[in-house]
Amino acid sequence: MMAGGPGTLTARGISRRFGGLLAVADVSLTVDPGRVHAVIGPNGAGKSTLVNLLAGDLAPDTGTIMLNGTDVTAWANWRRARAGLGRTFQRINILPGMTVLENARLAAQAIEVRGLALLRRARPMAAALEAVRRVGLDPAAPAASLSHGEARLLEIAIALAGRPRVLLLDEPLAGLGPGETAPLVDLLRDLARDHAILLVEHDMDVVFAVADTITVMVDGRVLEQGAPADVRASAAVRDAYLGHAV
Amino acid sequence: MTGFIAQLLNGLQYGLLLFLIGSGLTLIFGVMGVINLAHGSLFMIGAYLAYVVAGATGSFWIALPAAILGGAAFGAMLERVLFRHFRHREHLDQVLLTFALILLFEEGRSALIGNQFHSVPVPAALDFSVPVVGGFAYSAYRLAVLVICLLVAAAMVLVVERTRFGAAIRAAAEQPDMVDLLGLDARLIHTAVFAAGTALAMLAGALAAPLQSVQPGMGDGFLILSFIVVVIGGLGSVAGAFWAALLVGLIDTLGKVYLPQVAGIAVCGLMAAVLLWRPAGLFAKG
Amino acid sequence: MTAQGMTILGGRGNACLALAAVAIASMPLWASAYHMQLASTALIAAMFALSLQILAGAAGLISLAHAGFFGLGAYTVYLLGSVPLAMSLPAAMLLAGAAALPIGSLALRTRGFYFLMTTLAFGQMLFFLFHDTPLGGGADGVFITRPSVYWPVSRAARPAVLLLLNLTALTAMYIALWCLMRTMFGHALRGIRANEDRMRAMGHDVQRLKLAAFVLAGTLAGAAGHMAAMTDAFVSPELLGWHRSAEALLMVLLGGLGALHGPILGAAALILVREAGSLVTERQRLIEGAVILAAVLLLRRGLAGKWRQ
Repeated sequence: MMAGGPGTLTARGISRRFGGLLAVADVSLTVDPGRVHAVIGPNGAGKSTLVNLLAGDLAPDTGTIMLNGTDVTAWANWRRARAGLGRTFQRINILPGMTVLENARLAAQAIEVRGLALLRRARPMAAALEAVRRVGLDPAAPAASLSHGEARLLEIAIALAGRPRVLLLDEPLAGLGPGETAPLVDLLRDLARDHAILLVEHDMDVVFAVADTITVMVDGRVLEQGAPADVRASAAVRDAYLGHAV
Repeated sequence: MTGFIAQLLNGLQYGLLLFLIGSGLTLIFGVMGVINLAHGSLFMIGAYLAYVVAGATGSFWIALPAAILGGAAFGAMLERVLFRHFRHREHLDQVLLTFALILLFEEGRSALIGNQFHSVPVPAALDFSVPVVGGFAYSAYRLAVLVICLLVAAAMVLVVERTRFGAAIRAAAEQPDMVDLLGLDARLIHTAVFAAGTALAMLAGALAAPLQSVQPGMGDGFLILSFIVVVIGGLGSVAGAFWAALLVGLIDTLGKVYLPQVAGIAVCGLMAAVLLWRPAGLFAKG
Repeated sequence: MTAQGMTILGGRGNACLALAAVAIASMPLWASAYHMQLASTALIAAMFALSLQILAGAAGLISLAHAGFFGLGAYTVYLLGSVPLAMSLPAAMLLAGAAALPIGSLALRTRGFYFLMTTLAFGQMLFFLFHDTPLGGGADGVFITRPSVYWPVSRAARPAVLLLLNLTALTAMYIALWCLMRTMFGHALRGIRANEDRMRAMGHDVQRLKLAAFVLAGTLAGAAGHMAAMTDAFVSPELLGWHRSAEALLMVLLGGLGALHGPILGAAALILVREAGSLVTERQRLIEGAVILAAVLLLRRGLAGKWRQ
């Protein structure tokens, strides 16, 4: 297991092209330990592509990605996960046919157990139990029977069970009802204490409430980057994205 | 040398027959997403049909349109009754369902016509040899098969590239999920593609009947080779299937003559290599 | 007991299987040589299908190369000549597993339809290796000497001895896999079948896990093939053909992808249906084709699913 405590994620000059489309262009950002770095922008701004690049699902055309001081630019997503990077998915991506606890247990197993040790009998793992308890789910519930809000919590539990130091949360609030949002925001604040969090979100109230730094992306580029107050005050951001209602 | 030329021509002719079978298979897979292991059996059915028709009417030439029309009807029926429902099932189910069809076709043929080997005589009009080069003469019938297959290939290219219907097929092959959105009648396209594929395979069988004995297992060798053609040519690409079929036909024929121990392994090895390093096919466009 | 995505039998289920095993073991006391031979065939089919279950049922990999490893195990007996069982069986497993390693490494670079086709290609390469080259002793197959056991076996006792050997082998294989499915490796395989991409995102080395499953499955298929060669005293290239791979898939499907013991039920069902069919009609393929159609169209979770209800 890696050393505990929040980690660091740094991206410098990341670009990625798909055929004729430059989805992400020269994006740099840093997620500091114990901080929430939010990425916002209109649909098609490249936010999801950025998350996939940081997670290792896609390889960048240019730039470097540093995780806890190590250059992971060429690393596959599973290697980055083992190095302390946890992520959730925008579209629910859990393992059906299994219980909540088993979903989390497999995530814990991925990090903690290697090689021939896999031949040992499968037993409950502390990291999995803690993760499930932290998000407030019933360990024995079948994953297929969860409501949308509970499934979102499971997404987070799976990410936490690997005891990551950095978290990539891709629209964790999407599709939640009004009553479900507040507890999840509290959870986010709680998680920020011992993780570095990159948060992609559309809900502006939540973003301005929890974020320490905000990056605004438009058409694959960084439009504005800085403290929430500065971003809110920026004319360019208002014109491009926020409109004049905020 | 003349032996080599003969084998070269044999390889081309074999390849062209393989094209007839493979082109249908690649369209069926490209457009409908169905793995059809029973495709080789259609070849066998076409050959037996030719035997029956030629025997009943005394003329081999009637057997060809019989195979085409019968194949189209049979294919349309198969699509509407069975394959329409297979489309969305997992690969495992498709493999097993079409494997079951092979068994049922074999049994059906066995019940209707029997298991004996038959020979279909080369039509009298073509029962001579054509001098090709330097004192070497090649069977006129085989040359006719070559020509017929090339004509069919040309007709297919015309339909696929130049007609609206062909454009619809190409669209369906490239974006199977988008067919409904494009305003095309998916069901009609699927039935037509399956009917055409079946007709082509049965035509190949009918054409091949005078060249080899009509026997129960005659579709087996073609089945694996037709999958190889589909892979090497690129899924859904008729043009790709054409060049791939020629390549495979030549390698297989020449291989069996000059390097018989290695031919089968080599052809399958080529298939594996393409799947691993050029999964889009050696001849696919783009 | 549903252990997360695949049914693994608990005490009662295993007791039923144990009962069946005892019944089979008692056959030398009451059954004819023909029926013991039939039982041996069913046991070997069950072993072959069970070895595929790790791939298909556990990890979700549909392979058409599996008969290639089965055949390699069988041909090991031919290649070694006259040797003791204690030598031929490990050798067969080793050869099959050794072949599965490079083939799996390459084939697992592909997924879905391409994986199916790649395994078909490699399986056929193995088939042609034994069909076209002198390695296999001929395209029509060849008779072999059975591996020897510790004591001389009379002709009359042979069917019974083979039956008991096959039963022992199947039992050992089932127990080993039963234990394996309860390990973290077994759970990981089931996770791969459930959602491979998520498993990778979690941090699992999915490629290595799949390869381990592929090699293990191939090794066990080699053991089954060895027992087939030993029982029939005959090997032929047909053992490696894709038809056989499809048959193994059929047995797995008949029994149910979702249960470890499914292949045993599926193999038994297929052999019984064939046997019953041959009593009624000569149209074997009609029966088999109809059975397959019915199984795929009707049995959602296989016989194992029906049993649970």
